[in-house]
Amino acid sequence: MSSLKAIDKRIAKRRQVYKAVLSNPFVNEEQIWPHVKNQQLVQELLQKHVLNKVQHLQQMKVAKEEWPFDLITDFNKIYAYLEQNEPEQAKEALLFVCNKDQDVPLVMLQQIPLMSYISSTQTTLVQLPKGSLGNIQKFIDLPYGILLLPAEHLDPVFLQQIHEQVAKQIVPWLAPLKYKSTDVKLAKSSAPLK
Amino acid sequence: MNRIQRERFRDRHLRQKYDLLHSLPTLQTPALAGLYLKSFYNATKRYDLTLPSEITDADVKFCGECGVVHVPMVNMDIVSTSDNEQEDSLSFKCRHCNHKVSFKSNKIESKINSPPPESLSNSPSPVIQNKISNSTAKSRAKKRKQNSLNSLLANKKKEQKNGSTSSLSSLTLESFMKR
Repeated sequence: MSSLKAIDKRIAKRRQVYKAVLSNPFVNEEQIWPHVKNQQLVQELLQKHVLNKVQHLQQMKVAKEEWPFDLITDFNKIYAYLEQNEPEQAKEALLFVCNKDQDVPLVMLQQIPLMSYISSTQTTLVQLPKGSLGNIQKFIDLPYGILLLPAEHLDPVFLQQIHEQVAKQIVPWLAPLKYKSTDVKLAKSSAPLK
Repeated sequence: MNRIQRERFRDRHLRQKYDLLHSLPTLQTPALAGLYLKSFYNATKRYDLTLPSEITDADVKFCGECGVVHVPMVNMDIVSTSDNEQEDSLSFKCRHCNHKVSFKSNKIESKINSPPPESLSNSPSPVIQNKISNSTAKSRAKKRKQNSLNSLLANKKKEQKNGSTSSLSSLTLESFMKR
């Protein structure tokens, strides 16, 4: 029989730790949701630049078609927006996702970072903190917990501030599949002399 | 192989299989996906690892039919459909094998009709305070130490000692009986 002291020593030597077996920089599943530096600031920006305006427009009873900025909440429309492939105009968009809230379907959430990364639209994926779904729903319906703001009519200051707060998405395994517009406009060739 | 080597080998083994699965869409060889996925699952089984349901659930991360990793807009289409009977679903369609699945996902109910916030001017931005317990490694280590068997025993001994001295000081018959 060993003494209590000896048992204690033996237990203390090995303790249970959890290691992420599958984590690696290639798949990068841990950081597939880009890091947001200051979540409170992002939330306030969203409130100030979007939600307050929405509320104002709704109080003025302005039809949704006449709003000065676009705002897409339906999943199919967001998917279509991200899928469109128009190399002529480099489009930009902000995609706000309430990925910490319970009501949002998990199956969909799993695909959203991939969607935003692979899209030819330059999308900034912004994850919102827990509880923001309820907050946004006071102003506008979010049937899927996602909100897409095309950048065309947005305040550039707002856009820049959001960009500063959100890290860039890095998904190495998808990088070769990502749409890239070519820089080449003219190919070098030769023509006969007259 | 000792323990550390074994673990390192396991990690490398699994990681390689997992990476292979993810590089298939790039390599344009989706036909291999089923084989690789099965091999990956077998490996996790051999090492007695339980994977999170996001990976193992059929048709979520990997196609249930051909095993290719889902990449929306590249090898999979997502459509959300809503029937009138409040049965909303999200359906995935694999572009490789045309396998279709639909997941039930009810829409989040609208709360617009509930009373709107009072005024626009001082619309409170409800600050969501994320409570992060500020426990440092040092304090946690201290706690662990306090909870260890040795210190618990020491504490008990101390208490007993204190109790005994106090009772001894009285030197009555009752205090002796109690002991």
